[in-house]
Amino acid sequence: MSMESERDELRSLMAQAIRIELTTIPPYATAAYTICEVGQYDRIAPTEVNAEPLEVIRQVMIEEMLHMTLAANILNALGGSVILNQPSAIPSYPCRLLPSGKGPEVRLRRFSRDQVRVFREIERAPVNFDKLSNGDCLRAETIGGFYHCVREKLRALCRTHRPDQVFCGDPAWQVGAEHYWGAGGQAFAVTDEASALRAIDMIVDEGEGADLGGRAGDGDPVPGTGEEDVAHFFKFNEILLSRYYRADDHLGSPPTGADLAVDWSAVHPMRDDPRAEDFAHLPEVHARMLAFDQLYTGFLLALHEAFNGRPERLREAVPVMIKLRHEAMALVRIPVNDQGETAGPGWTFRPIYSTPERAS
Amino acid sequence: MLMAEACPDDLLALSVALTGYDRASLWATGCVPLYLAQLADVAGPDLLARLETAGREHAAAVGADPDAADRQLRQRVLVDPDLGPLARSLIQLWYLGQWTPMPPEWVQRNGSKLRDTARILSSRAYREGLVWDTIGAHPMGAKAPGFGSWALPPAGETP
Repeated sequence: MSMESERDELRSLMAQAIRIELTTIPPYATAAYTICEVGQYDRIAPTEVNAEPLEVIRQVMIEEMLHMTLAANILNALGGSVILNQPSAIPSYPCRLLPSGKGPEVRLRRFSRDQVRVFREIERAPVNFDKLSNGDCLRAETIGGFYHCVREKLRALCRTHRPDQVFCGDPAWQVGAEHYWGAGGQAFAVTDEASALRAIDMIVDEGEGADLGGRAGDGDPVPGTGEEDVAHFFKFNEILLSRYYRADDHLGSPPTGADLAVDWSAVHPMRDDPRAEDFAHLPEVHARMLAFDQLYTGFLLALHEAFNGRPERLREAVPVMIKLRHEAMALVRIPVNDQGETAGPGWTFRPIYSTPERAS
Repeated sequence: MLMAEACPDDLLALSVALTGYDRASLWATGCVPLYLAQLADVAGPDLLARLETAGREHAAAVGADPDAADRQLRQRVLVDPDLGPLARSLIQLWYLGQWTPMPPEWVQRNGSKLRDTARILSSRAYREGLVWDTIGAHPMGAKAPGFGSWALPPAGETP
């Protein structure tokens, strides 16, 4: 294979990586936002309900945002371009996590044991790395296996070609700590083999801790406390087992940390895989769900620009993410049928949709 | 979930008429059961039934002639010495998350009620007040809109 075609293959693999990272965020966000929060039970005194699982999912989610940003940095460093303004590039649900079609089916569902088990499956480490190396990365069966394969290809390319041939992207397009802060760790520029491998390792370690020999810790400190954080696979298992892991705990043995209080019943009964089209018979709900989709679409378009030479635009995306959260939390409170199921965020990319007046 | 003893449909219809927000928006506050329970506690069963009737009739009439339906609501509810103060407190509850106690004349007619005290009903009620949406702002100390958002024009504002 020529240098160009090898580099092109890596670019398309990194585009897949961005899609995989993006695919995880709406389901995680949706589950988190269906958790009933403060003030649900007690008429007078606010009560913290499920604050702990909400926080655990939130931590994972914002690390996925960092992973997506790092994957975009790698793609841009390779001289590729990030595409987030085309419907074909944006996941719609239900969908498969990986290009191979393997791995769990990813859906938009309320917080439940089943859904957290799916999340844990998303973050599961591959059983056998050897099977994948130098193979077809698109056939990987786990995220970790996919990145392991991409990593090998990147190293092979760097062994045979000059760094400036491989990393031919414009360094000004890199998203660094000056554009990205306060969420799941620090973004850094990818300009050479070392920084590209560091980015891939961070994505994999935070996901599964796979390269760390089954240890729960991911090698990064939790901001503020300085204690070592645990990988996503373990975080979701913490919720299922109602107990926190310590960084030195291992895969296969139970967590040894403090209790983690989970109330599986304090959850808004959101209908599975909500889509605006399914609520056309309820015009008010329909309009509100379309408004959410429009907000999400605008957010993705802003990300598209940020990853295509205008990294400073990430700043504008911050208030939109917060709006998305508040709107999603509002949607899951609206009952839509006699069974008491509620509406929810559809996370549908609708680039040509224009704003209707909110019916009031 | 806490459910109001009151009939949500008719009282929601009344709330839609009184606030100008649609049903979905009222549900989206997450405060429907809390507010309707508060209203029921202060109104008592008889006045509550009259409020339900007013809500139901307004909902039935508003499609054909909105102005006439609104006029009728003012005459039947807002100027009524028993229903008027309840309706006005309900409006304030939706907008501010705060219950405003009944005036002395109402208490003389209907007696004092245990829950008829001035207070913000819950932390959610404060955060979800309709006033914040109406003025394109966020509740102070809650729902922070994110770093740098102060550089953007307020929602609904044309720069």
